[in-house]
This record gives sequence, structure tokens and C-alpha cells, in this order.
Amino acid sequence: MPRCCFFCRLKFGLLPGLILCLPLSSTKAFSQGHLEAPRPIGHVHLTWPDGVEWGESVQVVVEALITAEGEAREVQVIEVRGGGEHVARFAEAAKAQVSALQFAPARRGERPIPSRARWLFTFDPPPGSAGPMELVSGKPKNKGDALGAEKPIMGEQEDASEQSPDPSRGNGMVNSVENVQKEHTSQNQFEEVNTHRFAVRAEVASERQPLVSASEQDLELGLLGRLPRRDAQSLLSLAPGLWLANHGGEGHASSFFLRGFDAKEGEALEVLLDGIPLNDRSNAHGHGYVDSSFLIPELVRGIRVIEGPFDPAQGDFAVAGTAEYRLGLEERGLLGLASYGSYGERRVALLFGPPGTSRSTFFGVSMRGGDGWGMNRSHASASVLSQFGVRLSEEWEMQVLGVFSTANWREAGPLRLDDFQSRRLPCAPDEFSQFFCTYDGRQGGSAERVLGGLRFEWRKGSERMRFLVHASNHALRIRSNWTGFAHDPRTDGGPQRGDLLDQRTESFRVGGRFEFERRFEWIDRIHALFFGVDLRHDDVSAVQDRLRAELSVPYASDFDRAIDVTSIGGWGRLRLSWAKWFESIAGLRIDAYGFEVLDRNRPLEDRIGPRLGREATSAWGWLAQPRGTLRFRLLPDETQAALDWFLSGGLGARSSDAAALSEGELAPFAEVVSAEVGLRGRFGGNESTSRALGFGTALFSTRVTSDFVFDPAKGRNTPIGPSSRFGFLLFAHLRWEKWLELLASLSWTRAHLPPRNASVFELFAGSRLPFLPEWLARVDGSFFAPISLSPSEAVEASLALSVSWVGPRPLPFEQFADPFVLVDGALSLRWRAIEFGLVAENLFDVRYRQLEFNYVSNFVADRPPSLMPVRHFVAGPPLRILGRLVLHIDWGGV
Amino acid sequence: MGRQIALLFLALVALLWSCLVPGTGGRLVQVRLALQPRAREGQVLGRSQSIDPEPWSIEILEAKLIIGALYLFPPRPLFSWQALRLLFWLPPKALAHAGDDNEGGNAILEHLDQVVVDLLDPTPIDLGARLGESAVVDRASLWLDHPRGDLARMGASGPTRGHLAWVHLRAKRGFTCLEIRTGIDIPPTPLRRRVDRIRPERPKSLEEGMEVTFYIYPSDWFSEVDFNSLIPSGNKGDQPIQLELNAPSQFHNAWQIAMSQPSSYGLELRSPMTSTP
Repeated sequence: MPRCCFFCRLKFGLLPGLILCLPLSSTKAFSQGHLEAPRPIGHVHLTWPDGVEWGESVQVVVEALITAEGEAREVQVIEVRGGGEHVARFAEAAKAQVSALQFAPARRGERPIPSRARWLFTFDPPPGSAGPMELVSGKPKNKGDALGAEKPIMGEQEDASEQSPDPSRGNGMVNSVENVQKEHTSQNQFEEVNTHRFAVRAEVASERQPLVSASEQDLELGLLGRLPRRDAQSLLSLAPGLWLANHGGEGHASSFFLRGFDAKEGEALEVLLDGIPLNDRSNAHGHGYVDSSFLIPELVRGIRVIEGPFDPAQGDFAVAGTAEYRLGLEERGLLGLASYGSYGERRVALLFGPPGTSRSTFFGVSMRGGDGWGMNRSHASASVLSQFGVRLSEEWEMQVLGVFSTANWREAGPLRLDDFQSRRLPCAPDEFSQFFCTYDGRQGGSAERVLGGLRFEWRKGSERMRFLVHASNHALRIRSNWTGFAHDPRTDGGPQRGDLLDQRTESFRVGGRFEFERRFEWIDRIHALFFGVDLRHDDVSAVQDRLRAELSVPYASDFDRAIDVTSIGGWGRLRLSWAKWFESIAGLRIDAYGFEVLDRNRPLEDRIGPRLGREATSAWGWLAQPRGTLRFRLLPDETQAALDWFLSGGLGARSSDAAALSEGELAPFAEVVSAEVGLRGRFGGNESTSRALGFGTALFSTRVTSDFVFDPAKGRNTPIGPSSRFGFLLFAHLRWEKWLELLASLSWTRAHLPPRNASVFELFAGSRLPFLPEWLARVDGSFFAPISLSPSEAVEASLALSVSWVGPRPLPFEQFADPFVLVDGALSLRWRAIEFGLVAENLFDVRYRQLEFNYVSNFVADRPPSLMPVRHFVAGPPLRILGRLVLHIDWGGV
Repeated sequence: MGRQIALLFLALVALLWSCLVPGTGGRLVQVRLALQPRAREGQVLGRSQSIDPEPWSIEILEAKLIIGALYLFPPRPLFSWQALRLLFWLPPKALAHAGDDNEGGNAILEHLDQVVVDLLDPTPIDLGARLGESAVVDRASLWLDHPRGDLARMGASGPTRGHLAWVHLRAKRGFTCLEIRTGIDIPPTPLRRRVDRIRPERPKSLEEGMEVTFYIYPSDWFSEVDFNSLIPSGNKGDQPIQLELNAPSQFHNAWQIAMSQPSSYGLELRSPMTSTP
């Protein structure tokens, strides 16, 4: 029996900055005559949760996506104020209420459109009879909560919460919103109540940035998150045309192949974590090295990949493009995960989404390890990711991110193909042992990372601002031996001491990012101005020593540098919507870099005489990078289908590796000129609706002024001069409610080393760059379905499959590498809180060479060295099967 | 419409054709490699004369040599665009010695397995077929090697008696006859065991099916030995003088110098169709 007769009123306050989420559409006019907000239809029954004893008001903010059909989806509780230990009950009640409501969808003129809106529910526990409440609107009861409009939504209103139900209504039942609205017209609550229910002024602020190219991908993982992906790095392979390969094993960063670029481990791909740059500058292993395997895959809610440098916000290393991870945990409560499988692969993880908080608040810890297949592939790692998101006020939102990670691994390194074919490798003679053998068991690495980020976001009306500060420390050590006994720099003619390279990088970084966006009206259309500033300082220590084969003692230092790099980047982007069918985005980015390098490995004497073993170098550089997009809407009515034609172009750049700079040099950049033309469309609603088929195609061309290639003798990337790339991309994305999601893509690229005097139109000039995949095809599909066991019991089943085809890769001497097909699958069954899963990677146990190289190596110390470049390869992983057990502990459910 | 279809078809054919051709440049060819002891023209294998005013007649009764590796190199690039820029501003580099990188650069053909050569047997030793890069052969290198693996385990019972090379020869002048049995070892530094700049008789590009033969001229090895200094005092000359020489000696020095000269070797490239050099 409740302690008191409860009645609660729904305080209906629509937050300022009503957000209408229109991912595919541009902004729209924000005067009443153009936009109509969604409005609920029907009765509202909100009761004080049974058995809850709480003497104060509780406010719950709920946000939902209202589809064009008027259905409420993605209902989530944004904030709960008050309620103590009963938070979950109030949140559940408010959420259930919104879920049960029917809505008249938002409209743009006569056309219904999807929208995202927030409601404020106020539970008041006054004594009295329980009964239905009134659906009213008004200022929130608690002033200063700022949940209501700073500018009152409905004008000056009496606080309806203090009004008793109108006895003329009999039992107080509210039949419709309209009735309530009419009741309050005398209080100057509304204007044109029935059509402009929510706001005097409703503005659209799209949560997603406008597309800058036809090939841009912005994926919420959803069902695709069930696809078997070993780590967060491999999630990026969902982007069409992006392929990952790893020559260093678990813990080592993957190499990216995108648009004909061998982006190495990040040299040509900018990787961000919610705006925080992850690429290491002047890393001893490679300029731009980025390793995102420390991220816990379950905490990645989406990825955005821009293929090409078309957005002025893209910064350093965005030569082939930019990939950004967005973190979030949709499921609230506690998630415990354990898996075990082939080759001793094991993992435990604990994820926590505090009830009553949004998906941007989470805590996660993950530990994994494995013995590895074949020789020298064991690994172990642990990561902690924690983020806290809080709404400070109506306009301000804050997020604090913390990351700790550590990893240690062994790596096998490449093998000579001739040694494998003649079974001469130093392992057991069977095919498996030979294929997964290693020459040097001392290879491996370790990585430690600490990262923190603080983000503020401000929204008000047509303006939005974001401010981010971040700091990180990344320590990386990689020991690799690609050449055996071939490049000892000794000059006394003695025997080779060994080529095991010990690369150590310590990188401390601080930075910040400021963005401001303002929408404005001009020529009766809505446009947007966007500008920002990037700040970053890197303090790097990069060392490479050579270790002797006996006792692994350092015998020579290849380089030892202390590097300071400071960069300031500013950009502006103006999006003009000239007509309903045409919009343009014009932007400019200017980057300035200052380098300070202290080389601590100089000789102690030169031709003149003795000298110190160190030398300092300073350099500076800046570059202006124009970028822009033209977008033409080819279909007049986008209700059921859309087709857009994009023309995108831009100049991108990569900062210079500090190791290559000279004193006083105006630091050269690797400049990239890129262009793309493409079509992008959809059928059946838009990406916010539950059923949609998106598709696209693009032709692209890119030219780089100064490209790099990995030099095994040096163990890092070295310049090779200009290069050009071109190709095309096809993709399709099908989403069918919550049952099915399918992503398919096909890409073709070619890369050449043109002569220096070749024009940009001579696409086929010069020799072709080998080793780059030409054809890439992939299909990723995830299927979900409940299986009824009884009227009250059901098992949720999901099946995910990923099929990848890598076509023949050109190799030196007019040869091709063998193509291969990889199939990965995952099956899971969930009954209540328990989920069992089975994951298979490389389901058909294909023996494939994921990377191939051509260079000179000599792995036998006591015989004459090989001086002829021969084929080397890195073996792709074999079939691995893992079993998973997941516990979903829902604390009250929100 | 038909023209557009035809153009589209041609474009597709061009695209497919481009996918079938790697376009990476270079070509691998299969060639046969061989080693062959040989006498100079007009000479008999294993027989020669010293360079003394009163020459000694040298007859090699037994000679074995271990070859460690064979390499063929293309011409050194004159310049690259980067080197051109540097060369314009910097003084030329003196290559007095560049450590282990005198023949720096990549080989277009190589053989790395140890081979024991009977220098008195003119039969070519077939080293088998192997892949090489189709490029002009500018020069070759040959590595002399000490016994490794099974040869090393044989020790003194091996063909070279545990040495890099072994010789049993007879030097005669008048009634004086010296019989020398000895082996030679060169310190294990690559520079000293490597014989560079062996030029082909006629420069050619490697091509499919070509026969590449390294010639060894052992008869030249002992021409500059001072045999006079090897005659023991008090010799009456009625019996052959048996000498077991130990390094170091002027015999070994002369032997090593001669053995390390590129002129003691030859290189021939035979095209497959004509079988002519």
C-alpha cells in the first residue's frame, strides 16, 4: 500500500534546442511556418512507482527518436534528478510512458520527417488521491534546473504543477493533448496550438556533420557490432575499401590499405578517438604510427571514415583519409564477458553502464591473452576505459575520458618464401609449423598508454560549440628482425652481428580542439558556418639500436633523437544551401608546424677534428589546404528515396618526419591532391528510420608529392618520391528494423610511381606500386531474431557473417600474389541475462599470405649472405574458434 | 547507342586487361648455373710455368677449392634524382673502402650453397636452375669459403683436408723437383674472401633458359711463387723434394694473391637458342 495517494504530473517541457535529427538532410528554416515539432497523441498515465518512498520531486529527461510514422524509438533516459536509490524505477516509468505514446510526427511543411525530442517528466509526491495526471506544459518546477527554456517555451506560464486538476474534467482524465492546450490558451500558453505545439521557435541542429563526399561512412555499430572483430582496430574494416593486415601480431598496430595507399600503421590515415588524435609523430617505428587495439571493442558505438582529405577539420596524416571512433555503451547495467578458445586465446571483460545515465557514461576493463599459433605469437594486454558524461546545464554538457592500457606481445616476422617452399625454416618440418615459423624468437614488443580527455559541448539555439583538451603518454617498444644478418654497419669486414632492431618511442602529447558552428538564414535558406582550431604539442624520444645475435646486447645505435613538434591548425567551412537541390561546402585549413630535433647519435669526430656527439636542428613549415564539396540532390521528394551527386576535392598533408629535416628548413610536407565524384542514395526512409537501403559509388584520384615505402633494412619508412592513385568504390547498406543489417562493398584501386614531369592526368604513367590490393570485396551481415520457447519465454538468437575477398596483388617482377577469401562467423543465443556465443575466424582455415614483400635478407649467419631481393611473406592467422559467455545484469532496466 | 555500348565494352576490356598485367616492372627468368675449371687457350689444365727467368714447370697433381657463393650484378646506377641533387652540391665520395659494401646493391642472380670443385676435372659442375632478374650482367662476385657443415665435420679427411683449398703440385726445373702438399685458409672476413669484378666475356641480359658458367683458371695460381726459395739447403737434386708447407709462407701469399684476382676467373653467358656466347 503506498504511503500516500500519489498523483504525479507530467511536466511537459521541451528543452530549448529541440533537436531534429536529419542525418541526410541539411538544416531547415527555424521559424514556425516551416517546421512543426512532433506531438503526443492520446492519454498519458504516469503514476508514482509502486512501493517507492521518496519525499521529493523527481525529474526525468527522456529523449526519443520519433519516426516519420510517429513511432517512438531509441527511447533513452538522459538524466534523472533526485530519486536516490529509486532512480531506476522513475527512469523506467518515464521511459515506458514515452514508449507507449503515439505521436504525430514532426513535419516540414506537409511532409512528415523524423525528429528527436526530449521531454521532462516531473514526479511530485504530494499527498492525495492517485489518479491520472494532466498533460501540461510549462516551466519546470525547480528554477535553475535549466531544463526548461531559458526563453520560456510557451511564453510566460503559470507553474501548472501547483494547480490542482480542474474539477470540470470529472476525474481529470485527459483525452488529448489538444484538450489540454485549449484549456490553457487563456493563459497565453500557445499560439496556434494544434500546429505549433512545442515551440515558438524550433531549430534543427543535426547531430551529424554533413557529408563531405559520396564515400564517407558514418556507421553506428548496432547489429554490426555482433560481427566477429578481434579488436577495435579491425572494426575499421567495416568501411568499404579499407583493409587491414598485421605483420607484427597482437599488440602491434595493423597496416591500413585504403584507396591504393599502403598507409602503413597510420602514416597516411588520421585516426581519432572522439576527436582526440592517436597518430604518433616521428615514432621510431614509423611516422604516424597508430595503434587502437587498446580500445575495448564493446565500447565503440560507431565509426566515421572519410576516404580522402575533403573536410577542413581533417588534420595531420589525413592523406588517404580519416577514421574516427565514437565511444559509448548503449546497454545500461553490468556486462560480464569471458571467452576462451583456440591457441589458449582468453579474455575477460567487465563493462558497466550506470543506470540512469546516458550511453556516454561507462566503465570498462578488459584483459586478454593467448599463446598464439605457430611460433612466437603469444600476447597479453589489459585496458581500462572510463568516461563520465554529465549535463551541467541546459546548454552545457561535459565528458571526461580516461584510458589506461598495457600490452606485451611476441611477433614472428616475415619469412623467406624460398625457405618455406624448401622446408628450410628452423621449425618442425610439417606444413603448419613451417608456415607459422619464425627466424628470430626475440622479436616482440610492449606498449603502455595513459590518456585523458575533457570535452565540453555547448548548444544554444542555432549555435554549437565544442571544446576538447587531451593529454597522453604512449611508450612503445618494438623488436623486429626482418633481414637476419645483412645490414650490420661494421666496416672492419668482420662477421655480421645481427639485424635485430630495438625501437623505443616515448611520446608525451598535449592538445586541444575548439569548434564552433553557427547556422544562419540567408536568401530564405539555412546555411552553416563552422570553424575551429587544433592545437597539439608532441614531446618524443625515438631510439633505434641494433642488438647482437649473442646475448641480445646493443652494438650499434642507428638513431637517438629527442623531438618536439608543435602544431597549430585553423580551419573554416562554409556550407551554403543555394537551392533545395544544390548545396556547396567550401573550406580552408591552414597548418603550421614547428620542429625541434636533438640528434644524440652524431659521430664524435669529423674531418676537422673531435666534436660532440649531439646536434640540434630546427625547422618550421606551414601549408594552406583548400577543400570543398558540391552536392546536387537529384530527386525532388526525399520521402521514400534520395539520390545525391557529390563532387569533392581537397588538398591534404602529412607533417614531415622530424628525422628527415635539416637545420632551418621550411619543413616540407607530403602534399596530397585528391578528387572524387560519386553518387549516394537510399530507398525507404532515411538512415534514422528502421528500414532503409543506402548505396553509393565513387570514382577517385589522388596524387602525393612525397610518398614513403617501408625499408626492411632500416626497419622504418623511407621516402620514394611522388605517387598517384585512382580507382572506384561501390557500397550498399541495408538495415531492416532490428532484425537484419547488411553491408557490402567492392573497391578497385591502382597506384603508380609517375615520373617527376608527368602531369596529373597521366594516371598510368610510371611503374606500378606493388603489394597494394587492387580488388577488395566484402560482405558483412548480422541477423537477429527471437525464438519463442513459450508464450512468456524467448531466446534471442543472432548470427553474424563476414566474407572478405582480396584480389590478386601486384608483386615485383610482373607477378601476382594469390587471392584469398576469408570467412568469419559468430553465433549467439541469449536467454534472459545469459548469453552463449561461438566465434570462428578464418572459418575455412585458409592458408594465406596477408602481406608480401621483396627485399634482401640473410638469416644464416655463418654462410655468404644473400644479396638478391626475394619474396618474403607474413602468414595470415589460421582458423580460431572461441566460446563466449556473457552475463547481462540489468539493474532495474533503463 | 551502339557506339556507346562499344565504347563501354572497350573500356571494360581495357580495365580487365590492366588487371591481368601487374605493371610493376622487372622480369624473373630461369637460368642454369655452372662452374667449370678451365685452361687458358693453348694451355693444358693444371700445367703452367713460373715467371722466373729460368721458369719452373708446374704440374698440379691435385687441387680442390670450396666456392661459397656466386653473385651476378647489374650495372651500378649512374644517378637517381635524389643523388643528382646531392651530387651537384657535394664532393664525390672516396670509396677507399666501404666496409662490407663495396659491391653494395642487389644481385640479379645468386647461388649460396657450398660447392667443392676439383680443379683438374674440366667437366662443368651443374648448379641447377634458379631464378634471376632479367637485367644486363655487368660483373660477378665469387666467394671463397671455408668448410661448413658436413665438410667441416670431415676435417682432415675431407676433399680440402679441412682447408679453404688444397693443392698437391710438382714443380720441376732441371733435375730439381719439388712436390708440395698444402692447404690454404683465408681469414673469415668477407672482403678478403670475396673476388669481385669478374667481368662477363660479352655483357648480356639474363634471359630465359640462359646458361651462366663461371670459369676457374687454376693454372695461374702458382706462376709467381718463388720456388727457388723453397729448395732446402744441401739438396742434391736426385730425389723429388717433398715439402709440407704451413701458412704463412711466400707460397701461400702468392697463392692467395693469385686466387683472389678476378683474372683467375671468367664468366660466360650463353643464350638458349643459339647456345653461343
